[in-house]
Amino acid sequence: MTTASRQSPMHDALEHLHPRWGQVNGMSAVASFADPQHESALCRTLALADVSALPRTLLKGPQAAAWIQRQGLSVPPKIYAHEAIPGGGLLIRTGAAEFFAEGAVSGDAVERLAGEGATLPDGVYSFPRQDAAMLLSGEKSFDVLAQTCGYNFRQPEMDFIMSRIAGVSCSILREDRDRAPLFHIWCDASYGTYLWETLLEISREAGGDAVGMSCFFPTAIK
Amino acid sequence: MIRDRLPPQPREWIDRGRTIDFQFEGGSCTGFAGDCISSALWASGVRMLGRSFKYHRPRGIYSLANHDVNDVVEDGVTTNIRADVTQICSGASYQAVNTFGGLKKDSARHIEHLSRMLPVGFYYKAFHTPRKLFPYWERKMRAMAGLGAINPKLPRARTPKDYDFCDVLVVGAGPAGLSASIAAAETGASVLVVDENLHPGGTLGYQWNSDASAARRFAQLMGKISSMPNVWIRTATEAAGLYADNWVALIDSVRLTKLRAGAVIVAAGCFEQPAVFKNNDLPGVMLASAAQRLIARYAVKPFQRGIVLVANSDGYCAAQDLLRAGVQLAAIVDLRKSPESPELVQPFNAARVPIFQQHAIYQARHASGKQGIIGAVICPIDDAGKTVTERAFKLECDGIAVSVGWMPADGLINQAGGKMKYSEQLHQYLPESLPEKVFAAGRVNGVYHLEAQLADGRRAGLAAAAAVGRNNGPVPEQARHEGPSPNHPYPVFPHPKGKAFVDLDEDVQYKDIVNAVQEGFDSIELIKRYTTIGMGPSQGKLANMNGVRILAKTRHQTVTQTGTTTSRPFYHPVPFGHLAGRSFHPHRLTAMHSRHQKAGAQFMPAGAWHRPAYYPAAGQGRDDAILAEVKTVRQGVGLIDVGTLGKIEVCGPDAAEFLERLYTGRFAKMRPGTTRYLLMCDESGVVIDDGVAGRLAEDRFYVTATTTGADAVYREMQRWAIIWGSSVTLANVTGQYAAMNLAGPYSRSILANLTDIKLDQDAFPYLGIREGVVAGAPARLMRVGFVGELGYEIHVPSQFGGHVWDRIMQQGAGFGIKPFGVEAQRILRLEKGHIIIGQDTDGLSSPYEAGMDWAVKMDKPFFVGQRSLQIIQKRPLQRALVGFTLPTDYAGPIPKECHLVIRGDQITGRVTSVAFSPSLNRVLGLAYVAKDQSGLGTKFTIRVDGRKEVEAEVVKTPFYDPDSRRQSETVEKPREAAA
Repeated sequence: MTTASRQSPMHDALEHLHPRWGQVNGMSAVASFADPQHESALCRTLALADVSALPRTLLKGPQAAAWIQRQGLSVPPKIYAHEAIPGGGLLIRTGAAEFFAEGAVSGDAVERLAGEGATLPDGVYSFPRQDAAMLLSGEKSFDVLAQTCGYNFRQPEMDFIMSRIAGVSCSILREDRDRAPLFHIWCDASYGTYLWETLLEISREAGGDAVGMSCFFPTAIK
Repeated sequence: MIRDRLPPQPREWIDRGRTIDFQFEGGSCTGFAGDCISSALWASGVRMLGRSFKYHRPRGIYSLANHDVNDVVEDGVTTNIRADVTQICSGASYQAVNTFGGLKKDSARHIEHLSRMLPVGFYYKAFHTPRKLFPYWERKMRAMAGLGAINPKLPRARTPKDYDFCDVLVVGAGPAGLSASIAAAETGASVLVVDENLHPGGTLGYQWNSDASAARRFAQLMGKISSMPNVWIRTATEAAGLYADNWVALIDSVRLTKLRAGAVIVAAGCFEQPAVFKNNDLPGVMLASAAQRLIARYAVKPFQRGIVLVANSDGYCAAQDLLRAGVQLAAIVDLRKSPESPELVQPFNAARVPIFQQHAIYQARHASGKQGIIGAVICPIDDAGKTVTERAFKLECDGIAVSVGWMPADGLINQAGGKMKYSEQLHQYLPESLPEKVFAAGRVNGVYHLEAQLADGRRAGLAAAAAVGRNNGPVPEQARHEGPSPNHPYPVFPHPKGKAFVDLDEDVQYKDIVNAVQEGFDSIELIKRYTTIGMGPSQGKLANMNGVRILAKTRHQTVTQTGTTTSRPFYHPVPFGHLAGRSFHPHRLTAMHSRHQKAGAQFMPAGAWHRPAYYPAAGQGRDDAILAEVKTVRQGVGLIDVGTLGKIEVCGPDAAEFLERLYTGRFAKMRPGTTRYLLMCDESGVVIDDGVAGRLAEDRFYVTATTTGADAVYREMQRWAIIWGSSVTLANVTGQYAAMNLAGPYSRSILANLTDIKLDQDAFPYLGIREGVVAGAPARLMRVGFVGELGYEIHVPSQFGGHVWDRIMQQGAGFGIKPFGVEAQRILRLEKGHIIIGQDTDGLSSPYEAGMDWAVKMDKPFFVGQRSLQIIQKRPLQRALVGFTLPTDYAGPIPKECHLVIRGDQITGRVTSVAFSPSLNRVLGLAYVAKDQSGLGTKFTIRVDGRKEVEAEVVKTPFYDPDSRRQSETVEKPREAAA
């Protein structure tokens, strides 16, 4: 049984910003850095948040889609399509037989998908995903992305892409909330500190700042 | 400031409510907000703004459009500031570039007196002999050359660089560009308009300054654009280069924007061209459009009493503007027999301004020190365009405005692959063919009348919109210029004495081109390189056309036959800082990075990773720290972060078969729970990677790869899986797992207290792999022996890495555990004779050369590289990797990696790894030697630094613990002090 504590890939970079810490899924996660109202306002203009604490898994294999269906989830119909996980979370089809799942601050959908506590059937393989995960939010998020990535994020059909941000291979999903642009950004954990510091520097130049997870999961951060 | 300031102009750019104080060459100056440096100085009566590149001749305003580099300054931080287009800053202190001792007292001004000794191409002919003096001359030349000085001590300015996208890019916000943008935007296309000027309008803002109908037109255009949400205008932004697929580099004062446009409309207008006559470069001589810019944009009187040299109606318009600005016109000198319209001359007849038809300016007469002009020598010209000097006469003036023709700003068209053709009717280049989705509009098309420009812009806008799928409607025919050409075919009037400049940037004179032709440099490309015409910062904007004309005439050719030079990016020089942008340097940190920092690690790069090289104690040197770490692992226990290792999961029914085909070893019969060394070759049989395969289940392997090879190995796996149609599922989990190697005699004792995995020799033998929990975290453990001691490689999901590292260090405190770095690991593995791929192998190393025969199973049906190895196997080996030692009492210089193995005058190999071994108390290493030098006990020579030679002896590897008892068996000693 896992009893060890987890740490965000950006933990040390976050620590330097003197946050108010909370706990999410056994990981110290930033609840907020400043006044919650101020951070809420930032989310509409430009905000960057670490959400690495959310659970994640990668499912691969010829029977992966069938396995997902058996868990009662909708299978994204085409590559780069995504579906919401009931109760919170995302399921993204990243290949013909490859699915990336990210859960919410509560619930065990991702753990069930990964086969924790059970045996996965033949043809389904789960792999840990320890990504550095960030949310870039607000109208000015386009400016930050324009300085770091060659993809046109303003085009209306923008959904999920894999591209490079500031030279790092990332997965990016646009999922606007409250009519404000919101981008999920995932990258390899080892690049987390670099990418966080780079995006934060550019965000601050554009008038944005770091915010805590409470902005996006207001009641769930303990 | 007020000396030459005019009353408010209709569309002036200055804010008369805000004055700005600044310094120029140490003197105090004042201008209005919105003034450029040149206009503020000119308004204050300052006429000499710079010195020329070669002869250090005084220079003043010439184009006021950044089409020349007469007026370049620096402010102590930034150099290469174009004074013609850079707004004054409060408190700034500007210095002209390219002077020695200041602008007025420039000691290099005397160079002009030596100009006879500095003919065209002099630097190709002189200074080569005597050879020993060349470095002296080179230093002198380097000191003299260049415009401005870079201060390397200044902090780097990190400039943002960004990407942008649009359906239609319009280059140029003049009448054609604005009209094009409206037409394109009306179809629904997203349109970006860029213009290098601070304000939109182009010629509408200065050539039609006093034309009320043009002003209304401009207001209509801007009003329309401001109401269109899909049009953006970026001023002070130049389109610096156009690349494949309409990738356009946009440059503004702070950033480079990489713009991807669906279609591009080049409505960049024209460069007004100079006339060539003696002293045509001195302050006071300027293009008529520069005079109009001074008046319209900055409300500055260009001069008090002027002459206007014209060859088109634009010149008469400029003369009218000068009259309105209160300039006394000494004369209008028209190169033509008559103007195109009698109405043009009427205002001047009324003002009693003499007009000399079919006359030219033969010479500008300079003031003392050449810091201005005091008059001009006017000559009639004959029907062949030659000056009739016998009938020359003088007129007094302090300024000459030149309006003899235009040349299209067609750089982007050329860069895009478009073809320009010289029109003998219009005497300018016109687009002959344009690439797909690139369009030209306005004066670039040779369309000069305002209404025609607007119509041509509309046509281009609709055509561009159609090209990006936004317009299905009709596209009008292209408008053509009607009436006489605005361009004189040969505005060149040489003088037998004195300097008549063709290229003001490079101080290239008329006679330089003629002389170059006489020396045999008779093609335009050769002329360019030999005379440097067009090679200055302006890239020939004002020089190329006249240069081609002079060459054509000298060679009795047409302009078309003469050709032109290649137009390359950039349109204007671009600061390196813009190109560099933020300089993203992605780097990877392991999950335990902060632990290493706290432990005082010295880091080293390993690919993109930052890895601890060693951990010096306070006051401890590098070598002592590394040797102490080696000793700790051999005698106690150490912990190293190996999270950078590549980690790949290979799953599926064909997993074992896949590894059999990909690697040189056998894996099909591996039992779950075991590991095996693996070696990868490419198809030519060259060793490219190695690692360990651990079998977790019948259909699941956990494979490691080298730190720098992980991504390449994963790509190769994906490629081969597709080619072979293997039923495998691959996942690169390098970053998903943290990994550490707990090594040393006490490793088991420490780990036993942290895991539920049975660690005794029978339950978990050498080369085993187990899954379980370590310090509360899910873990994979491998018993491998890279460093040659009892050890456990512990892999945990990376978010647990820090926690598990901390727990092991806590648990090991009583055992004297210490972290060790890559440098100690290199020595430890060298003592064991383990090779590092990429260090002990190179791009040609076969497994046989590297002594890895044992890892190659040639009797397998197939593996990548097998066929090549079958051929290699049959050939005699040319070299072999051997272990060597130096004598135990050796005290000379220690060889270094890459030092050569020498036999006589032949190089027979090189050292690949070498170190002092604290365990064996001697220097040992690995080296490639000739095959006949590889026998045990053979002595060979290594040439070390200083060409000294060291004798080494081939010995058997492993050097240390040759039976590998320490890593494969229990040699643990009880430790009383254990926690």
